[in-house]
Amino acid sequence: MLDTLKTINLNGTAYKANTYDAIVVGSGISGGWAAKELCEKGLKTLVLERGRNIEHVKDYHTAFKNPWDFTHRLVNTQKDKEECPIQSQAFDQGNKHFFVNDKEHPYIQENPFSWVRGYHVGGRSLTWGRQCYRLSDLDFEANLNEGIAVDWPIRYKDIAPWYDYVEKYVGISGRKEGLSQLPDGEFLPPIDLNCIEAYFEGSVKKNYTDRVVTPSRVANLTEAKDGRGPCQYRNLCSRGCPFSAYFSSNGVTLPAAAVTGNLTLISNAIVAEVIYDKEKKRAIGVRVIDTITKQETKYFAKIIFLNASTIATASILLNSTSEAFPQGLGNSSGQVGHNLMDHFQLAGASGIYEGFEDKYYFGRSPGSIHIPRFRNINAETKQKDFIRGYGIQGKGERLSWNDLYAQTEGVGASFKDKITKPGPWEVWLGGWGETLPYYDNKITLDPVAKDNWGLPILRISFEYGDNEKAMRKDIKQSCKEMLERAGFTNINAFDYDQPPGSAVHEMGTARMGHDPKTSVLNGNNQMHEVPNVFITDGSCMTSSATQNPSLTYMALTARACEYAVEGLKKGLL
Amino acid sequence: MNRRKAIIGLVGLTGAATASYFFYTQTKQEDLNQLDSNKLFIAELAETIIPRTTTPGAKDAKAEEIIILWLKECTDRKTRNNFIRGLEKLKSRCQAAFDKDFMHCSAQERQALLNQFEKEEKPFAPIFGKIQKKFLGTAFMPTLKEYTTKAYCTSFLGATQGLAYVLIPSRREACIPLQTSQKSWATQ
Ligand SMILES: Cc1cc2nc3c(=O)[nH]c(=O)nc-3n(C[C@H](O)[C@H](O)[C@H](O)COP(=O)(O)OP(=O)(O)OC[C@H]3O[C@@H](n4cnc5c(N)ncnc54)[C@H](O)[C@@H]3O)c2cc1C
Ligand code: SF4
Repeated sequence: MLDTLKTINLNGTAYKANTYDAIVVGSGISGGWAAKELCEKGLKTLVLERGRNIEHVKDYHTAFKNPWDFTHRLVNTQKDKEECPIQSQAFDQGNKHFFVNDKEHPYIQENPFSWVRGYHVGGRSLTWGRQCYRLSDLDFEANLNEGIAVDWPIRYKDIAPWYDYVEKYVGISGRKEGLSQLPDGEFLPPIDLNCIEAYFEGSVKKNYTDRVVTPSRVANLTEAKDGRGPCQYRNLCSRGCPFSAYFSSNGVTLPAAAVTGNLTLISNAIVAEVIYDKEKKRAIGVRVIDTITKQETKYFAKIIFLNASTIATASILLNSTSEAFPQGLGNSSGQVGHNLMDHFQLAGASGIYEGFEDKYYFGRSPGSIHIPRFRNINAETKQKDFIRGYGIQGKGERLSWNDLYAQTEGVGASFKDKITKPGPWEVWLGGWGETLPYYDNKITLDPVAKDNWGLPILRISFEYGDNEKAMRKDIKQSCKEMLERAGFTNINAFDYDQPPGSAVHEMGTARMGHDPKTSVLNGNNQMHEVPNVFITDGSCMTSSATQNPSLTYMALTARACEYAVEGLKKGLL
Repeated sequence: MNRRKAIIGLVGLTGAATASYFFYTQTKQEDLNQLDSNKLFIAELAETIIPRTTTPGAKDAKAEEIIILWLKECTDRKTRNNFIRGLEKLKSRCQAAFDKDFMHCSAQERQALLNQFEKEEKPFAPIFGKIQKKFLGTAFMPTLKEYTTKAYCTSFLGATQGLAYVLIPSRREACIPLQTSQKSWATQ
């Protein structure tokens, strides 16, 4: 892998040297998949990644550190908080190097929106929470049925085989539940629920007919697979996994792409714009800026996959203006940058359970519990205050010193004894809610302000609507009720006012649709107006559903790669 | 005069006085060297909270070193100022109560003093507690207790002997009987 960008002048031979079959922009979850699929299909593929290289295992320098090995014992410093007011909400000393420095990578918040990201090879595939859920026709049909935004141009049957395909490769632990709103997949054995989680599962089964508690479906290997894993139950995943036991680009898709001999990966390479040829009516390449030398280079290819992640991809499109596309590449619809969505979270409840005092657990689970959506599934579960719904994620554990000290009075031996013994069992539940696509929630490029590389700084404008606000109330209430019915005490129902973006599920800024007038991509993630450009990161999402979205990006990427390669073969692109 | 006004009228004077006092105390930067010069004192305070028993105590774990580092680099100024002032207040209280230096007090006397401080500094009802924290920073005793606990439980001795710690568990047993005298896991 080349570490920094090679700079070659564009004479005849260099044009050839800078020309590939395919260019993939970004090496995160979706870019890694595009690289693997295109390389395995025999295309000479160039991956351009704006961040530095992170070599699998070798560069996970914190992975084996104990709490006391960190100078500040994993507590963020005041300087961290001042320099990185956004990212420091997500990082600690163990994974800070996988998040950007806010000072170096500014953006303008017209109203609060946390844009949590990492610029390096692998992107957020290193730090993600690994929760993987399928969308269903309840999601794909919702916009059409309710007359909201535009209709998804695909249905579950179009994507189902691709979910199978990526799940088998990624390795996802989980349990089949036979639910129409959350289709089952190809699962490895689930991570077992602990005593309190299993008790809670039983209680919900007894008290409700409309919902189930299931082990979260996570991309952590409960069994060894293709030379990876199994998981060692350390729950330190966001530092990188030395056992390759969770899915990341660095550990899984990029090595698979490299093995083919077709991959060239260039790090420290910012894609500034896509170059469009109006005679050919095709994109012909990209203009790249070396992050260190600031030198510009152009690369050319027959097809281009944009996988820089939702917000960055939209900004590349908006920055790619030309005579043919004065509003940005493929943006005659005016939809690029609009319809930004994120799940909203941190409404929920927690409670204490008196019992199971003689029970404990061994090993740290990187998973959690999940309660699939149970609102507005059918006529019986229809709500009057809101449409769509939410999924609940939660965790049960025995309280330990980091909670107990604040609740334990006094000092001395008895204080010490109380905080070093396993405390009471607690269950925590929080909703991840669907946000509707609002045209006014958007990113735009500031006409004046520029970043270190002379690229326009982007602006984000975002506000939740009444539907989301009404749903938050219901989440709080339903979490509280489930805990009450299960006999929990000290129930704390909460609704923390978290800035949007905090779920890190931003999506929607180059949506799929049937009609080029109202959408940017067709049902194959192909730009309506630029047929050799494909976008398969979160910007393609027509609605947000409630599920953690990355599995869907992976499936759509693999599907679009097949379509693109077929198109190339047939001479259509 | 309506009821609300009456209340404002009553607290008006003292309110203004306290406000300006707080303005002075909160913006003034206390001398950070006071933390280093009080290192032994902080070590004894930490040991009073988490003493050596059958397992190591805060002093064995050198809790004072990380407490001081956190105060210098990971703590907002108001909370840090409260802490530094708290140290002095504690010293003079100790003199007044026992007529001797904290360092010469018995373990019981030290505990009695910290317990007294904890009662006095209890945050108001939750909602006021939050506001109080935002404007005034966290009080001395809650910070001391929090930092001592964290320092001890994230130290090598605290995690491996005071608690139970395994770097690489390798397996998961989701629901097993609690062992006799089982310590809590140091990390979740
Ligand atoms: C703490 C955390 C927990 C999460 N938990 C979950 C979860 O449980 N389940 C889930 O589904 N999702 C989760 N996510 C979200 C998930 O990480 C993202 O949905 C996913 O990584 C998006 O994939 P992507 O390929 O679009 O972008 P990314 O993985 O972000 O990768 C984008 C890459 O493009 C590069 N890039 C950006 N701009 C340019 C440019 N101009 N030129 C070249 N390269 C560029 C970036 O450096 C980056 O490497 C979580 C995220 C975080 C941070
Ligand atoms: S918990 Fe499992 S998957 Fe996560 S880092 Fe540890 S071994 Fe890897």
